[in-house]
Amino acid sequence: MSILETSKSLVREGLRIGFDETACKLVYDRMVMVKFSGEPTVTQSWADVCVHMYLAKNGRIILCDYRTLDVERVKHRLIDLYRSASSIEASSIYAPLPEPRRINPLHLVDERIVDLVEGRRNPIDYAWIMIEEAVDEGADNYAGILLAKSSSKALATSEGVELQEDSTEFECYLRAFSRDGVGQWSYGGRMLDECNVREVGRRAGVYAYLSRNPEPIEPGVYDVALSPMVVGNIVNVIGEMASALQVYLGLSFLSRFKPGDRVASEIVSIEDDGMTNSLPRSTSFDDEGMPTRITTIISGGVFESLLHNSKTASKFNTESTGNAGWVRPEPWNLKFKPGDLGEDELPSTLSDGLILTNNWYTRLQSYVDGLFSTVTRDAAFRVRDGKIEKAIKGLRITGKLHEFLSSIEHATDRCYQIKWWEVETPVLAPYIVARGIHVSKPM
Amino acid sequence: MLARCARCPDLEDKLEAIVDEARRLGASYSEARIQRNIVVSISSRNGIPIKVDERIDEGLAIRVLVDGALGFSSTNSMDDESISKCIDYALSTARASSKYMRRPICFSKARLGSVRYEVKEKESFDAHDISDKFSLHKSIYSMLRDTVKNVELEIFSAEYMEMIEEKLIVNSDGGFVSSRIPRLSLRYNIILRDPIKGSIQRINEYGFSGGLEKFREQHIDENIIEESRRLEKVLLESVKPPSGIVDVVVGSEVASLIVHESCGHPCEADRILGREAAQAGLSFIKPSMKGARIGSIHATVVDDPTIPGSFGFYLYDDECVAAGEKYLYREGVIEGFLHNRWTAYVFGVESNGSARALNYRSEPIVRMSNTYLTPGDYSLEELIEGIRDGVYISSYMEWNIDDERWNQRYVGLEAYRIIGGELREPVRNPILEITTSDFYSKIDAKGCDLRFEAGLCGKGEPMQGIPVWFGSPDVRLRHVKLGVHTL
Repeated sequence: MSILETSKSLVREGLRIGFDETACKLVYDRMVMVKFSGEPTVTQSWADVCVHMYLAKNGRIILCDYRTLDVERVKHRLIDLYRSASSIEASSIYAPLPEPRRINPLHLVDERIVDLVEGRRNPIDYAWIMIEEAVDEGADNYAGILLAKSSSKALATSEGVELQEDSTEFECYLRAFSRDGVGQWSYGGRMLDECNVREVGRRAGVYAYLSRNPEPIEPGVYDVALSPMVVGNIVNVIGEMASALQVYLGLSFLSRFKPGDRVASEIVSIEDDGMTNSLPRSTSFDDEGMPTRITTIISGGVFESLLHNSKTASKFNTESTGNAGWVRPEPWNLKFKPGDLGEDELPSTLSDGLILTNNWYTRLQSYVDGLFSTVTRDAAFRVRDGKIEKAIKGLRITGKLHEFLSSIEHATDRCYQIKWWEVETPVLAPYIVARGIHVSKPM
Repeated sequence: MLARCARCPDLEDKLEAIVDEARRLGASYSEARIQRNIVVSISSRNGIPIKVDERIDEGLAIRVLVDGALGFSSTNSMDDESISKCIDYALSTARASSKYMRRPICFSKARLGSVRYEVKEKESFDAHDISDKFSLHKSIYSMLRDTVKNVELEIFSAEYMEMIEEKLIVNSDGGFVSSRIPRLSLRYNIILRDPIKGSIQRINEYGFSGGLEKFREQHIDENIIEESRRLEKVLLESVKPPSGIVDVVVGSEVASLIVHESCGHPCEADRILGREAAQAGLSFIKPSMKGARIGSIHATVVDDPTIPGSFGFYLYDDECVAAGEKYLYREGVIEGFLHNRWTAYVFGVESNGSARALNYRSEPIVRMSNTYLTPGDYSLEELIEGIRDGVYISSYMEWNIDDERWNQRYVGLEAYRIIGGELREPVRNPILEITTSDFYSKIDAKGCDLRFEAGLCGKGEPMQGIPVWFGSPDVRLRHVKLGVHTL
């Protein structure tokens, strides 16, 4: 039986048992990942089937994830869950599943990635292409991963949605070391292009080499240029907070704003894009069968829209943006709109400032107030009079998210597809320049 | 337990056959694990349900050493053809890596267990239906509404989670482990708001191994209510904290996290060797630093997975090595690291049973379990009495640390001024931004009350969020420069 037929049969079974609505998303994944640190540390491969189900009865919502192909076992569980459904109250966000909509299929498969997944090409050879680029730029050690994935998903709902989609995904990132200098770069996409693999190694290697002999600097208030890796990390936080469920749960600084409010400088436009097929999480339909689209979260500094599924849309009295998650809307791919600054012009925008190329561990004192800090890692530079003066280390950016966004003055004209351990939702990001940023370190 | 599963009476034989087959095909070491995690969770906002989740995660993991390279493969299709492919993937990908190896991967010798064990719940998850479990959300929300009177209770959201983790592991060195560990947790988010003072937000988690009795025994509902009463006062009455050099009592909750971040993580031997360099990072500890001084005589940190009822509980790790108490720092000196069999081989020691895998899709890697600073003999009052001018930081929200585990920051949520040995008014968001050696060197006294916090510790690629406890008594630090939000 095809995965779509299996999904449909489970939807029928849910209805037969007595649920008012059911939906079933069945996903078959094949994935291979090379992980290395100086040498291969492990090669991992996965073959996985997951049955995701949405079940509703009188406004009660039950979600299930069963990593099994044992359909009879899943059906058996549905009977037990039906009993459970009657013992709780209706969900505060319940709204019915939507009617089927017209879906424009996307071409999301790159056969070169399928070859990697199926073992017809060796992923570790690609990893070494990336590594050699870093070494050529001066790296003396390196660590990172290269991932190839192929997926098939089928969606059926009790409202009549019947959809299927195949996709591939590719991700690589490399952290390069050159003595005490460190640089990191990443790439994520639906397609495999050797140029992107080489660029990850090259940029990591260049930053590692340039950041040798880093020195501490004094904490204070600085103008900063942030690389797409840093922009990707912070935009990830903002994208997650743009999920309407996060606002509903008090886990978003956007809960203190309403559409039309200014939350950033004019240079800041952030979109969620589910439909551009080169981006790694693009898909033609969401978990409710709604078409994905481009949703503007912030436009020219003005808060425009949250990300919705049908349930949160109903709760917030608006329309779905095609970001289901049956309960939690999720961003697909986030995009920070490029500006018109050339990358080589970046230092000249900083008379006395810093260039920060990577960060991690962004944490919040208060989600609703957006009070945050994040730790720099890898290459960072002090800039004086528009010129890089020296490599620096050991810093932390602190601030309030909307004040940080309001301080952004420039974006460069080229964006990079960033995805790695600290940028879980892919981000298409340029370099940006922000003014008056608080920088701290241990005293 | 998995091996006694009525549906699959032959699981043990199947795993042994997989291990043998991998060896026959060229693996110098092979390991097969079937892991089933059954998770049920209930989430709510302001006492009204949002959803119930049920997750059954069950499948096979195979790990092999071939020509000095490590291969891992997993599947959740348990038919013979899928298993055969899974073995083949593990072997072929490892073999393809081997030509790039500088130093072949080897595993240390280890005394491997051949055991079955399980944690028995006093009150099993099946003993109550969903509505009983959800009633905890409702009752806490109701009590919060009765308690919080002077500010708005804007949001109380909560997620109850119960999980049964079952593992059956066989390896080619003679290891056999069958285990069953039930765990439960409650994570919650409270936002209190005042039109003039703004808002205060608290996210926290309780977690245990065992059954439903744990929540009752630990009085978690009463703890949450009492805390909300104090947070209301912090929101309304807190003042700016002192910004100079002061003495600080770091409360158990904050110190527990510091110990996890600045001792547990840097003592992971795989991190020291650079295996996680591109993800969770490196360690300030280098292999040669065993025996180096890191703090005062009070800095003794232990990792122990065998603490009954703990969130990080296990008796044998996922390489079948017996687990036990490990000293990481002892009396201010770096004493030992957390090892799996590979890192133990590199360091020339025996594995101390620290290899853990989140689920069948995860390779076992070096992890913490329950990591804690050993207690002293002071009461909290005595710690405070010894301070002329200082701050007591009881809880936190924001924290982070650099990827070598040296430069770290903790921002207090519930915190109080200390003047003349007495606790005074609450202070808002004091910042402890400190290096690892400064923290451990400045401890001059420890409380006698060791308490633990629960959390999911993230590491690995793909990410594995593993249940752990981190613990500490209250500790007193001398001469600390506190930061103040300039915002």
